[in-house]
Amino acid sequence: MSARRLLPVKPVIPGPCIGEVVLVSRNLSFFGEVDPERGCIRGERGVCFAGKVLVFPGSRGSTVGPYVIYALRKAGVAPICMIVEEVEPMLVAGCVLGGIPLYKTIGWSIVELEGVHALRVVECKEGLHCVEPAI
Amino acid sequence: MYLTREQERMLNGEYGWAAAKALELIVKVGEVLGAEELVEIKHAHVSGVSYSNIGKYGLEFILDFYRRGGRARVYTTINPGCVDYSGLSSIIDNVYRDAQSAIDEGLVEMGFKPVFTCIPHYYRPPSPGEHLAWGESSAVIFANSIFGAYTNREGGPVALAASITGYTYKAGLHLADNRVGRVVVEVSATAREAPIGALGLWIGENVRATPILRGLERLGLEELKSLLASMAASGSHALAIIEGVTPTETYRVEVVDKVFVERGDLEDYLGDDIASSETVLGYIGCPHLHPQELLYILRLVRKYGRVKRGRLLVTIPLEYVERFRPLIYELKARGVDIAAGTCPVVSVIRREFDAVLTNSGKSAFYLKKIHGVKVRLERLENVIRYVCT
Repeated sequence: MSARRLLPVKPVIPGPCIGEVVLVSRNLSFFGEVDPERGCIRGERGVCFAGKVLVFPGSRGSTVGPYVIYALRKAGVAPICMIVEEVEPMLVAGCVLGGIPLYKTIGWSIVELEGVHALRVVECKEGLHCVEPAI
Repeated sequence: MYLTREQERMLNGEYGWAAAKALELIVKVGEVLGAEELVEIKHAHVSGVSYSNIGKYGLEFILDFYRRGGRARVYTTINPGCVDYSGLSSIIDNVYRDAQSAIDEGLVEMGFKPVFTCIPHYYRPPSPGEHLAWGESSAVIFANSIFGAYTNREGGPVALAASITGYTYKAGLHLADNRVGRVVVEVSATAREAPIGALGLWIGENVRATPILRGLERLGLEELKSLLASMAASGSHALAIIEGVTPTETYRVEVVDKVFVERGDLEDYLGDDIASSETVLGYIGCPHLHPQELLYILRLVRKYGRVKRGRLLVTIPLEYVERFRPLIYELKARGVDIAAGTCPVVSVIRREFDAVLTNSGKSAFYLKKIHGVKVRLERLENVIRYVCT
């Protein structure tokens, strides 16, 4: 990536968001699809997001989700922050409980972050927050 | 957010630590979701109570609220735990009995009705327009879509907090403006012949906006439950408008798209192929069975005599064991494994089989991920025929 493109985000739950990117291209049910003890996605390749920036379209499935997000924090394997396209009440409750910053994309799809190794969320203009992919 | 004087006093600790902490969570989540005020609820249904799902941190979270004075302010029911308290099942492994008992004692002492079921609507059918704070994704979508009640997919902790405070935030599906069907889903005749759970899983993964389901008004209770639960598992749907079923005054329609589902679309959602040499666990009861479904299953098993091949597991609310004792024992005598107040999605199971054959799209979605087992979707009648012939 030569030209650094700033991608606007809405801070749903504000907080620091900087680190290595873990991009999951499908919706996630934290219960069932996430291993709460290791901070990894179950199945195929077992991607792990502990201490990283977890980027995914949105949450789905079980309402046990918030407890799993809370457990991730308690077990010390929570992501640094999350970036999603859609927020639903359950995801918000989990991030509030777990104290995990949550950002929502504004007018762009998470596929834009394909191949991006790391990013940070910065204040790009007055009052506006953006994702800044690392080069 | 606007708070009444009572709510402000609650937030300031005048009703005790637990109520203050619970309201703080509701206000925070509500503010994030743009709520301008709270809404009084009639019924809370608390999900996230199974030790095998929530683990030690969830247990501590719940018991902290109990020990520090949290008590139900409204009618509250609870979801299944991970123990078969009936003692009838040999498939559910009660390995977490002590931890689950500790959670359950706390919940009961808080004043929650120990129904241990994911069909709280059996105990208290909601009225159209009534505000609820329900956890359990399958129950939430059933309440909104079948009864026309108003509830979001509250995560377990928020439903608990709503019980203790009597309020939840007024956003999402508590507002009429958000109860809008946008995508018409029409289903071909051949797709209708597939197990309905596959259609639910397809809609959950492929339709993001609130769907309007056309031509499904003649579905029975069993199929409606399976369809809606599957959508809420593979997707994040909390409301589906089923024309001819959903109470008309509880939603609006602004169609922006229309999709047509063919049989071929559903193939990927039917699950794994099962070889005839494999030992099969037939599973029915996700969501838990209503009494009429249980009776229907008994009639089918009677027709064949008994379970002859593999196993058949049926899951029900705990109370049925007493209430429908003759029926339960006849099923058991005919070789059916009964588990009450729990289910394989929220518990540990003994793996004495190679594959699961079920009518439930929701359990197909989770069992594969949680227990790593092969799962095949079939119509209820075919599941029973398979294990009984």
